[in-house]
Amino acid sequence: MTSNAREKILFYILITVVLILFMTPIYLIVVSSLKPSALMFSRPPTFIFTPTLQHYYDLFTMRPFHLQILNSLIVALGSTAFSLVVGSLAAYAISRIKSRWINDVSFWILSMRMFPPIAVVVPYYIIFKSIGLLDTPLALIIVYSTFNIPLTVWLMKGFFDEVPEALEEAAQVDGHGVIATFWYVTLPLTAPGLAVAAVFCFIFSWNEFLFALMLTGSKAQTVTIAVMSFWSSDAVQWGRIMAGSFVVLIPGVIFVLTCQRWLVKGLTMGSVKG
Amino acid sequence: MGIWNKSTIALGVAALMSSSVWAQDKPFAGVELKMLGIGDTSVTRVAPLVGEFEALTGIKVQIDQLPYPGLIDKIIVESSSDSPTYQLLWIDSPWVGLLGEAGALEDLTSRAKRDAAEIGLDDIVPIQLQENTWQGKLLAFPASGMTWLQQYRADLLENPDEQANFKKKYGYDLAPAKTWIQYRDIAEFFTRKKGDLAGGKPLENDLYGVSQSYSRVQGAITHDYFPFMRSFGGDYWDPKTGLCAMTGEPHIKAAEYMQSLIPFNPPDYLGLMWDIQSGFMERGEAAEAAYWSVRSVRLTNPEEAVLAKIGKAGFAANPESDAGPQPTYTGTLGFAVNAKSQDKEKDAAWEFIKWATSEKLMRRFADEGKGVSQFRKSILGDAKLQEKYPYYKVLLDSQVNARRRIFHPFYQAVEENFGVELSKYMAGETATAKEALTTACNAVNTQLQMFSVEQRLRWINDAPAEVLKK
Repeated sequence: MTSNAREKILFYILITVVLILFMTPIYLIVVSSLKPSALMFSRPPTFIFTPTLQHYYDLFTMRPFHLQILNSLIVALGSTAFSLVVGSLAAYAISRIKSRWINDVSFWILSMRMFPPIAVVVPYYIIFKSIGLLDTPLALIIVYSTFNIPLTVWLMKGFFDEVPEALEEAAQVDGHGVIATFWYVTLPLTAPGLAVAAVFCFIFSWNEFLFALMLTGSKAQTVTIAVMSFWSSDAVQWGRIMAGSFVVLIPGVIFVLTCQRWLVKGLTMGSVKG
Repeated sequence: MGIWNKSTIALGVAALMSSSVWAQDKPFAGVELKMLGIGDTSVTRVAPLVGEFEALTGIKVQIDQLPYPGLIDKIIVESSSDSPTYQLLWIDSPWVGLLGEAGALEDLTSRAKRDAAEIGLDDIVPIQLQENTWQGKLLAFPASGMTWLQQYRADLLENPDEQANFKKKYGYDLAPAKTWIQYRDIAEFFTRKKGDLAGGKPLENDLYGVSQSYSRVQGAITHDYFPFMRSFGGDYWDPKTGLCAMTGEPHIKAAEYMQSLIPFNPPDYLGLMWDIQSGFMERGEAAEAAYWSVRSVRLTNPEEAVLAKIGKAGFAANPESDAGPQPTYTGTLGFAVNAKSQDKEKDAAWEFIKWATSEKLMRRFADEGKGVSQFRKSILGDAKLQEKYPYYKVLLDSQVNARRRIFHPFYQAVEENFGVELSKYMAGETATAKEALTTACNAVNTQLQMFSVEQRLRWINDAPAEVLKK
């Protein structure tokens, strides 16, 4: 066997192990979502059984799960879009402005992510209650953006730093203004960074629990709360939780796959100097 | 006056009269209430029927179902607002102290006394009302009453061959355990492997002698340990200092007893939370288990439990320790009114509570086979219903002498610390029960010592419910 063939076999073994490692939880979610409740915790675990769609049926009939998915999509996409717009503009400014205070400003922005979220739950509740935004997707978009914008700023600053200023100067010599230069020259070059930021913002907003629990009721309830609400005082309805978890996985996977084209490039770009 | 004018006046008078009748009949018509609830049977059974309540009273109720973890935090945040979103709150009885001390819940005593005949106050098992009091004030109304009781495989315990073999081995008759020693003997006797015979039939799965909760998640182990502790004659608090006192002999005995049951539990006992624990009974894979009655109804329903198809469930009051008979350990899930609501909303919310916990509705749930753990004597004592739900009689009889579960404002600290330390002891990470209990107690006391003795003694004082005073 040539060393090339050996390497190939080793590669496939490694891929298989990694796949098993990552796919097992998803496999268990799917299997459990199709398993009758009575067999959920049988010992040894039952893998051969008559599958049932009852949990999926319950999920969409006992609760307005389709509306809760819609709420989550509005909140996650809204916060992601807002954070990308504000965050990338702020990051561009921080990257280009030469000032002795700019590092302090950057750190101040980053510090927004440092406080424990629980510390601001009550103030947020009172503010949103007083302005009538409680139990609306907009409240969650605003809250999530306060966490997503600092992340976007810091991610995008690194990408903007990598873009040679000479390129922008050349564009400006050709007649572009600052905004046009940013839009047509700089931003396309940092598309991988935008993709990475978008994925992180989306995943954070999609999965967030604490604020969604405290700031929403039935109108703006998101999927994380909807799925967890099958945890009651007398039972944890695992079948429905698993069915909900599987459905909740789908939009996230679609979003990441959509961004995948730029994602790998974005995650590695800037990691090596020179 | 022309015919048209007369008709117009007549119609106007009729409309005025009918609207005044409407206002008399439905004084709360148009009031909208929101309830902060969970997906528990006490809520899910009522939720689809709120339309009937609206037709009856004109009060519109919207029930939001949120997850159990985090719900109390949401209630606390909600009660911090002067114009709350939720007027009705679902309450687990251990929360009453914390929420009572925070002034979050409306005192329902005077309303309950005023409407005693209408709500059938005398029909409610007294301890279930006591469970919802704080400093004697009724802060919530029972919607589902619980006791911690013994559940077992009646088909196995009543099998003549099993009875003969048991008597040969242990020297006394096989029957539902009267003492915890018997409970352990039964657990040992029925711990069998797949393929062994049980009740004359080969087992398709391993049969575990017992299924108790040992998980530290959400303090689940404490939900079993505390009833054991009480049954061994222990208590939570030192009556002189108001500090945690769960380090004495009864407390150690209870922990050691729980540990002695481990060999007869499923091997992953440290992962057994409430529903996983009861799941073993429901699948017929455990011979006996002691847990909350909220899930007892499942054992009699073939749609929810395999046991109802392959065997038969039996129910009995809890066994005794060498400390002799002890009061039954109880709990309640109830409905409360947010103290920050407007007066009219409070009255409307009380109307809803009266309707949702009424004898009529509770009987309807029982007749329809819906699993609400009942709290009314007339229902628990109904002969026909007792036949349908054999545990009703146990619930009724065992609550004659009963004592409520923890209601201290620091109950969360107690459940968290004891949950972790007891679970570590059961896992063998801590050498002795004394060490585990002392560590947990010290952690709780570190927090309690910041308060005065008077304050601490007030917190442990279970003042009799004023609503029960004649």
